[in-house]
Amino acid sequence: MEITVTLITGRTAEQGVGKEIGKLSERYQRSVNYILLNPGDAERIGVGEGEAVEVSTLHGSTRVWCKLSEDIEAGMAFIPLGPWANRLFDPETHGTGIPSVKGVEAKIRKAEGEPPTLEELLRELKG
Amino acid sequence: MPVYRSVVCPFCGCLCDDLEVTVEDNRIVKVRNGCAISTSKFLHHHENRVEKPLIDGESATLEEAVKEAAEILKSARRPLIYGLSSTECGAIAKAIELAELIGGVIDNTASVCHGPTILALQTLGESKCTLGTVRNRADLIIYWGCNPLEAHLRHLTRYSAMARGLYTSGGRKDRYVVAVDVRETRMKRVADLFVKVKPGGDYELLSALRAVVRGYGLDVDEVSGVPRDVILELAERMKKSRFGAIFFGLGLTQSEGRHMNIEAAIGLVADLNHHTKFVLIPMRGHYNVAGANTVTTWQTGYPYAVDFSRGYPRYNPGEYTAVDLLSRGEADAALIIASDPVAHLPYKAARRLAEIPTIVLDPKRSMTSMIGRVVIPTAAAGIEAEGTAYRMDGIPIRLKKLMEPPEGVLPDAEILSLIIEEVMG
Amino acid sequence: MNLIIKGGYVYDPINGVNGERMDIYIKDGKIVEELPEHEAKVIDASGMVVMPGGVDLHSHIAGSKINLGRLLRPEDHRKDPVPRTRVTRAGVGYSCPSTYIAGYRYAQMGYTTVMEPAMPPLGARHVHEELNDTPIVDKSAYPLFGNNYFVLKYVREGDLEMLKAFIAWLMRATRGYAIKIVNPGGVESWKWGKNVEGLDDTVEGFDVTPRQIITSLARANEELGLPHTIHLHCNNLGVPGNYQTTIETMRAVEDIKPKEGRETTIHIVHCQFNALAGDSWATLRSGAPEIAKYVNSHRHVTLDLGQVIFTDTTTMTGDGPWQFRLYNLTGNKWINSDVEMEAGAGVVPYTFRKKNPVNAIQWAIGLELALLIYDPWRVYMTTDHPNGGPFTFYPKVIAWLMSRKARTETMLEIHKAAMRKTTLADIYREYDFYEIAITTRAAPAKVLGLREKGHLGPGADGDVAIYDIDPTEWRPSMYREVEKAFSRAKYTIKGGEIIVVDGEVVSTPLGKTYWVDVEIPEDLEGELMKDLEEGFRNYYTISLDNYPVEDAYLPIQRPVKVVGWR
Repeated sequence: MEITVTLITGRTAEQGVGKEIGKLSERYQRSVNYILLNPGDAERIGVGEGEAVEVSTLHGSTRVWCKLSEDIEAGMAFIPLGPWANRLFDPETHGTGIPSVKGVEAKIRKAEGEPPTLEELLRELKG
Repeated sequence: MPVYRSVVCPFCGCLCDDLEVTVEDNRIVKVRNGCAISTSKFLHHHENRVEKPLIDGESATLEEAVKEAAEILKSARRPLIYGLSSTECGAIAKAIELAELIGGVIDNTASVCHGPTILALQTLGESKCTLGTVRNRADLIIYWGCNPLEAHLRHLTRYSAMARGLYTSGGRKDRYVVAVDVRETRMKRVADLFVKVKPGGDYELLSALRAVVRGYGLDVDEVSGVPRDVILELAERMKKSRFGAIFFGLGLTQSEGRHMNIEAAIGLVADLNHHTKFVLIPMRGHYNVAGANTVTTWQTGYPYAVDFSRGYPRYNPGEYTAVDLLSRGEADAALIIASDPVAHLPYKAARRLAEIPTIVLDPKRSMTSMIGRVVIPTAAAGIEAEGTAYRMDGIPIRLKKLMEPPEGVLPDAEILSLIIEEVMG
Repeated sequence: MNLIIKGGYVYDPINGVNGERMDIYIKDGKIVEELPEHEAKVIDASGMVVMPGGVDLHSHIAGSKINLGRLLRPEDHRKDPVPRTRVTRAGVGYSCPSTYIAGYRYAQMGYTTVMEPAMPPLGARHVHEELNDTPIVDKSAYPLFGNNYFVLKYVREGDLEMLKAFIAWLMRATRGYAIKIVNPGGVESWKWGKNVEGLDDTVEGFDVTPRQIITSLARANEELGLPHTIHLHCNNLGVPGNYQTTIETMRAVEDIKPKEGRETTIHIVHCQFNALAGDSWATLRSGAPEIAKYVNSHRHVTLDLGQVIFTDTTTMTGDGPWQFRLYNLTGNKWINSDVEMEAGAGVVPYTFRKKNPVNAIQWAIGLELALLIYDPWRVYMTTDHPNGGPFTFYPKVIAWLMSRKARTETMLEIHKAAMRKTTLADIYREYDFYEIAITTRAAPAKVLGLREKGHLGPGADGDVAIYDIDPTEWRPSMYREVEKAFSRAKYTIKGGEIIVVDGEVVSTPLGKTYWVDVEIPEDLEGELMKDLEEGFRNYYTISLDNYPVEDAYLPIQRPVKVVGWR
């Protein structure tokens, strides 16, 4: 089962705390490697808290852990800014210098396998 | 055991300057008054450090690293210097001098946060004020597409909704607080009125408010998911306030419409000034991103996205901005100062940084430092080095040096000076 | 390096030298009586005009306001890109020049001292950072006092001693040089979207009037004995009929006794904008004759022109309500910026057009003021850069002052209102080189109290401008030559160093920053600090500890010691 959501990104206080410990720290990675979903949406795609979600847009895909919250309404999803989220975005800035990273249409489904670690992301980046 | 008072926090654009930091044996052991992020920054600043200069992952001397960096920059045809929002102004000035010298492009992280705010300002202007003016006077505060509870943790208590001031001795109860966002954040609990707008619908909602403020009727039931009554009432409240302020964040700049959203907000605020006093203030993220724009502007005339390839500064966001230069594959070398674009720019741009020779100046290890050809450790500004930073509202504050940096580690400005000397030969 | 400037026609009004051929000697950066020729480099200035380096007492070159102007106007910069050279940095020019370019261009015109006239105290570090990136010229900045919370509080309480203590403290805290007042009371009222309309209006939220603010600050200034007078941007700027407010303002301080050694007690800035007569834009005419009449019969006033240039420029003042008014008049883009507890500012691009009757009248008013006020020691040439036009147009203003023909030719090109609604066409006076030297260097240096500036006597700073024009052959009809000569100095010498040769910058040393250092009696300071601590805790958003500007921002500083309390 796959559903379409509107994806929002942003900063969180926890990401700020983690980043200041260090980008390679456990706490930072935990603070940005997740997607916040409405429990109803999660149920529809058959994932629970702490399970992996595959997120894809027209521009890329990523795998992150699932977090549930009633605060986020059905049809929306939130991923903190960071190396997991940045794989989803169009680099096209339409002459403004800034890519669109809020309100992007994304497909989510239950992932096979765990999200990549930071080291794996780096390795892939270096190609 | 030295206790430093009135310490300035080098994390976000709030630049809170009332921290008390205790240093013992060249180690920070206690932080008072700081928010969670600030406390984390001070207490953990010594962790995950870049310990030695590196060339291709191997230890090198500072001299060798500087020489290699200079070689890379000299032989590049389209070098990009980027970052600069988390260092002090002296380093920013040196980075501009270097960009000019090598005929490169210099951009700062404003290009991916409040760049659209600047584009809108260049089109229309802006009515703004310092944070204390809001503290002392605002009886209506609107947070639009921003969430200080996550990104500017002491903003509400020090500067805005909860702050007490000259004409607002009652603090929170003297103000009406509105939050506008695409999702129900924790700001809903702070606000008297929470307005949920459809993603991508900010421009329409701002325009509808403006139309109402200008005296036009609304012949639709809702705009961007917001019922007409709510719009009419909010417009009326704006006109009737004695001093109104809109704080806005990346919810406006990074979503559909970008600078158009800000233009709509600027227009609304300008019109409101015919009824009362109204201001609009961007919530700047990194502690000195405002400084990066400020210094670049006084030295080159332009705030970011500046190209020196012709010997004089040229400005063109969308062309000379980091995301564009990198994702087009145009930049053939990069110098990244106090920033982690590999973690935050779209993948294609991040990937380009891994392909080209990239020089990284940072106190800490980051994703960008992990892919850097040359990595040079730096002293953390505001902890191990002093200098100026500009608060989100443009107020310049002096960062303090609380302790010595690790042996042999220099501030950004000094390393950049060494690179400049090496490039000049 | 020692220098001898040989054989030029020297204009040194402070020392009464009027075009005599004489040699100027510079040793260790200072003017000296004489030097043996073999110990010095000799500059041949024969057939040229030699003057002290120019002194501009009012030009917005540094700080948040001009930087907002730069930020607002990429289109302005694109008219005037400036490439890097072997000795100079790249940047942009025109109405909002980048800092380096401002320094170079002043030096190219033979100016060596420039004062930034509006420093919001909270933004003082910003001003000094920009001044430190403005090469060559010596400089200072005037902190804004006229709408400061503590000033209003002490004026309301009638506590002149505390007001004096606060002035002394703020000068040190901001490293400021003179008391700047902008639309006193009006800028505070503007924080509620209001203004004041005259000297006796009440300031919103404070039980004080502009008159009380001005007279209290002027009195405090003279009792402290600060080197410069109060530096005042009057109420009602840009409002037809405002010449009356201006005269009333000058009258308000008539009885204040100037400090020893100075006759004046008030400097009215960019007076052109405050010399409008008539009761609407339609009936606008010049109020310059009335103002000149007053100034000619009273010795306590100085003023500068704020001369209009017909060009596209960027207006920027600490007068928020005026800038809002201008925004509504023009529909151009508008920045407003209020500073907590202290000040405000606004920025609006503006084009002065030849065919616009109001602009034509404004142009004529500036020149009328310069020509109708007999004493050039009390009227100074400025454009209120960039408000009336960029400072790079000074040579053009010099040409208008020196040549009736130059004025007539301009008058024929512009709206007839300049002829009909002003007296300019009837004025035959033409400045000579001596008077130009007075209005552009000697007099501003004198009114600023800068003893080492504005003259070429022994002990003066070795700041000299040499212009390639022969005054013995010059006639007013040759005004284009004078404009050319003053645009590109043959030589500019700063502190004994050759900075400009043939109009090109060859060296870019950093100048010094002046500030006024007044010691406060201990008991008074204690009392003041109690007030400040309370005020900062309750109403400011930065700590009192973090407010004063550190020495790090003044790499080359020249504190001017003042004994404020005897």
